Amino acid sequence: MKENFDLHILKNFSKGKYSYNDYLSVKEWFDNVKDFPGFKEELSVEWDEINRKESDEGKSLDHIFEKIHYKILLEDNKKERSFNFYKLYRQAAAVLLIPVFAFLLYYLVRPDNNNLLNSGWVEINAPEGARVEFFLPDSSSGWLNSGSKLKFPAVFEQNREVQLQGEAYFEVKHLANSDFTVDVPDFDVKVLGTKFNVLSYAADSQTEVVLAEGKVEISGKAGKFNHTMTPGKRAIFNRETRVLNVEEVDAEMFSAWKDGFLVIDNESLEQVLSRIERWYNAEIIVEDETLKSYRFKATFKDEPLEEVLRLIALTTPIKYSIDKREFDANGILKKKIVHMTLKNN
Amino acid sequence: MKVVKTYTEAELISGIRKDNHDSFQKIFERYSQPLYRFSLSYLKSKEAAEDVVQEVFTKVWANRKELKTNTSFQSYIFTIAFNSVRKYFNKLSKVNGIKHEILLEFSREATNFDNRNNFQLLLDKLDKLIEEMPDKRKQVFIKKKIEEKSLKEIAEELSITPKTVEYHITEAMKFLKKEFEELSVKGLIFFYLFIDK
Repeated sequence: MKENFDLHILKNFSKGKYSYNDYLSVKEWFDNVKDFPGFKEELSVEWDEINRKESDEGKSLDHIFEKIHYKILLEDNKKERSFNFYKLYRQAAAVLLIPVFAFLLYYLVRPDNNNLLNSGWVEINAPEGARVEFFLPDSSSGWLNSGSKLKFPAVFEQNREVQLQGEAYFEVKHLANSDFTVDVPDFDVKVLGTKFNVLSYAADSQTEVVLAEGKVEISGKAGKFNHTMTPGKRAIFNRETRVLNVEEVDAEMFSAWKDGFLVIDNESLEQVLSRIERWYNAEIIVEDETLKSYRFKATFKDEPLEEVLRLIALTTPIKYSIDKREFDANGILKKKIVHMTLKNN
Repeated sequence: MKVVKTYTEAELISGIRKDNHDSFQKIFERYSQPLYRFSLSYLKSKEAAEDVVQEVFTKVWANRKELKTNTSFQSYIFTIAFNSVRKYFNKLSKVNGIKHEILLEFSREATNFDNRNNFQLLLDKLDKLIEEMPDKRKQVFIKKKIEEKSLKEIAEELSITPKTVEYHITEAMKFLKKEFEELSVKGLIFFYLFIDK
């Protein structure tokens, strides 16, 4: 049963003179505005009346204005910050442009164009968190993994030689009478025509080569060893013991990173984390030494860092937390920092 | 010579549209008091009325690009204010319902309680009596009766035992009962004031 809108009740209510039943009526009108058309109109009339009356009594509402103003300024500030993000993107784009410039440089210094720069070296960088495809002057190609650097001469000599820091996958074009050598700190990888992966980050404790196709020859820097690899093999050089070990592997797995896969195959947490750090441009701090020996098996494709960590934590007694990211003095976001600890500890 | 320029409302509105904070402040000075009084007459709560003022002007600024200079700003602000008042009225009605129950508990003798037209007076008296309680008791009472928290929750929040919480509630109810009975005997609320209509 609905009561009708009663102007008398409403007027008395606004003056503070009302019964509980009156209150319930007003509540009903507010709840179902559409069913009581006179109600909103009456309030509108009252609003206009209040505005007509010039009244200077009443408490100061300055503090409310201050609050609103504060919020507005905060909002403006945020907008300026998002402008900084734009700047950041511009800087990130500039980093990504480096490889493009590298190609440009190559085209500019092609032998028939310009002989002056013949002796120059070209460098390609893949920043942390990014992977870059590259093409060399001899139409060999490949991929450069996060945080890696590849140097090669603008014009190859009789024998082709490139220098690598980090990890790269090569598809080398076979040329008659021309060797192709990848130079890493621990050894040279000499190839004919072939597909292979080289992993040699300065921070890691080992350097490795995985051969997918063809034939490569690994020769230690001081002539300490000389090993010819066959496909499906993985050669690991331990930097501490300075010993080369060769094992049989599924070679494809070791170059899956170029297609965006992060493959972890029975590796220790320590190894895994250094790869995750490069892959996502993050810093991971392990607060329990014992954790480092846990071993993992997993494959990720296009997962964000948070998801990878969540899945790792799901299957291990590991807890993690991600620090709030901060800006450095130039307004650029710093690396993500992750802390890992042992659960129930 | 100092020239004091008075702005027309249309000038102020177009100023706000151009992100001018001074224009916004002038509009606030012009409409905040009426808005506060209007809200207070329906909400019966100073805090809620202030919240309405804040909400309405925050919206005015947020939607400043859509402000029109050719229509009445006064009726524009009413539309926002009306919805805001409605929202807060609904919010408050829950608390009011609880207070009503408390009042009902102390006014069994009063006939036709629901139709006496001084509900506001009773609410104000109840608020005043709650305010008079010792600090701890007041806290416990508000948490239990108004915020409807459990004994255990309150005990944890105030770091006291559930037994102590119970004690405070019992004492608070005793206090209110006594006060309301006194008023009733004096006829202040349940007789004299109810009759005056």
